[in-house]
Amino acid sequence: MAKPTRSIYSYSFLIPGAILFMIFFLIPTLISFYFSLTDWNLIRANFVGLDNFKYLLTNPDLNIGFKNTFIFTVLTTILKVVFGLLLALLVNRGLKFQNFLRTVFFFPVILSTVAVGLMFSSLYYPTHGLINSILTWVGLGSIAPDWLGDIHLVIYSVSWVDIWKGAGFCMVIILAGLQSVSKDYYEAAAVDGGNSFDVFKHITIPMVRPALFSAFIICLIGGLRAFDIIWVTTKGGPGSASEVIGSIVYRQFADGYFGIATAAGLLLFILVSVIVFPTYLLLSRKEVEM
Amino acid sequence: MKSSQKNSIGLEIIGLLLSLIVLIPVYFVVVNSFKTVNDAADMLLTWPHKFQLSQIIANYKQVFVDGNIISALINSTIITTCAVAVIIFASAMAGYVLQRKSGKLSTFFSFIVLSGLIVPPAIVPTFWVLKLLHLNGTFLSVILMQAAIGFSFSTLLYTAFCKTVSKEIDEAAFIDGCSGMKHFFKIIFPLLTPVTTTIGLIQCIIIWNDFTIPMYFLSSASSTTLPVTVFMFFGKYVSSWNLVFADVVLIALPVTILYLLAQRFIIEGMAAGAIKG
Repeated sequence: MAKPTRSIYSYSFLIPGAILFMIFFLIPTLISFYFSLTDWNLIRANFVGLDNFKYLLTNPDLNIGFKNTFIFTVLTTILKVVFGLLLALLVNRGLKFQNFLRTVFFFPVILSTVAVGLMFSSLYYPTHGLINSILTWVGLGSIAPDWLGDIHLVIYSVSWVDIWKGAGFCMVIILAGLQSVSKDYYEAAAVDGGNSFDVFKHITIPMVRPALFSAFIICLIGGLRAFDIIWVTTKGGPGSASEVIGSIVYRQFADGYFGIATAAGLLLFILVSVIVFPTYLLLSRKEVEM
Repeated sequence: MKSSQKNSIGLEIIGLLLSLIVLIPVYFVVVNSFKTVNDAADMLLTWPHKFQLSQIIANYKQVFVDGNIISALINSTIITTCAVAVIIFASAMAGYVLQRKSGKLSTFFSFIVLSGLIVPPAIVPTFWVLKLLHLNGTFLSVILMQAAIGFSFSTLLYTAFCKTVSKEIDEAAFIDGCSGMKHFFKIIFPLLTPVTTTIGLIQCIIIWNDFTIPMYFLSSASSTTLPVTVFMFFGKYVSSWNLVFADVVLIALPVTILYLLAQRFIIEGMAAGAIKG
């Protein structure tokens, strides 16, 4: 039967996908190695060597983007996975309101970033936004900060917006993992007299490890590539205090510096590849060993 | 037994309190979109002190008129539907063949699909490619770009689902002298309906909500999509929170309805796609 299968399963089925991939991933990525070395602005493209990269890495308004990308990625990835795990455990216990809770916790995921960003612009409003009103109400009014206006705080405030929006996504991934764990394990553990912490540590965590891993990788990629949530809430400001790599690419592009934008995009491409692919291999190898 | 019951009541309460973290902001936006400019500026959770239908209509009407909502709705609808159709077409075929074949090319293409989920697309140089193709600033370019971005996730879901479709169907078709394409669209594609529905719903939401791609490729107010118009509107009406919130409600309403109607498909599909990748 080898011959017939070959003629039915034609590689020509891959052509539409391959074309999309060529036009929008492969060619732009390859050509960006060239344009990143030029002062390209759609009309001309003179070779400038590594000037764009030097500029990106030495100008303090730009290299803050790398530091912020790091803070944003670490904070959002860890907290989304942790909150996602806790929420998943909570809604996997047969509670009465379990379905309602799942619906609510996942809801921010399907909301547009623009909607979420504008919502938080008002919640974070310095004088009488809802968050600071609550702080005042519980007697902490004196320390109520200017969440999006304080240059030392702003990247953390934006990270919380992203966590609010994304924790529910991790919850459903981890929940799918939890539901694939056979009840037999828990019964066996109960017979052996394991307490709930033992069960959590020796059964739940190892069994949901693949799901945790998926959630972790997805948050990591999303964090490194972040642009929209930052642009919508702060546009990288005040000044350049909440600039990330994604917002630098856009700003340079919008100002007409396509060469610099391309160089920043290329740095992001390299950063994501260097961080994510090895992590992926490392964690999926561990999976096999388990 | 008693202590575990008590325990679970405690958890119910914790769960409900946590849900307020999501529900209060949502309620806040909706209720303030009903208020007058001055009332909304107070940023309170209270119900409008003079609840008037005319005020609500006035707010939403102004957003529709000043916010380019109608043209944005049309643009978003065109782009979303076309992009989803392209995604389904391209990724159903690719997912099927990648599941059935195990040659070198298949492995290589699977790797490409996976990297499409990981690496960021080089958006700025894409302008150069689009200029060559004379597609700059067109809906078609945005449709195809969205399709390229959504292709990987959808292909992975199709590949996973095709495992459940028996190969014997393919062999029978071959004996009947059916060509590959015809066999796929007549026999296989209808069998993939459950996953097609899931992918359609998820991609609809993602593309409808997407801000980044139209921000780069469709910059004029009249020819762009809903999220971008809403963001531009916010730039102009930054102190009219009642109108900004009405705009936010309008952008969120279609996906919210879709979500409440087809929640299970959406959640399970997203989880499945994430774990497969």
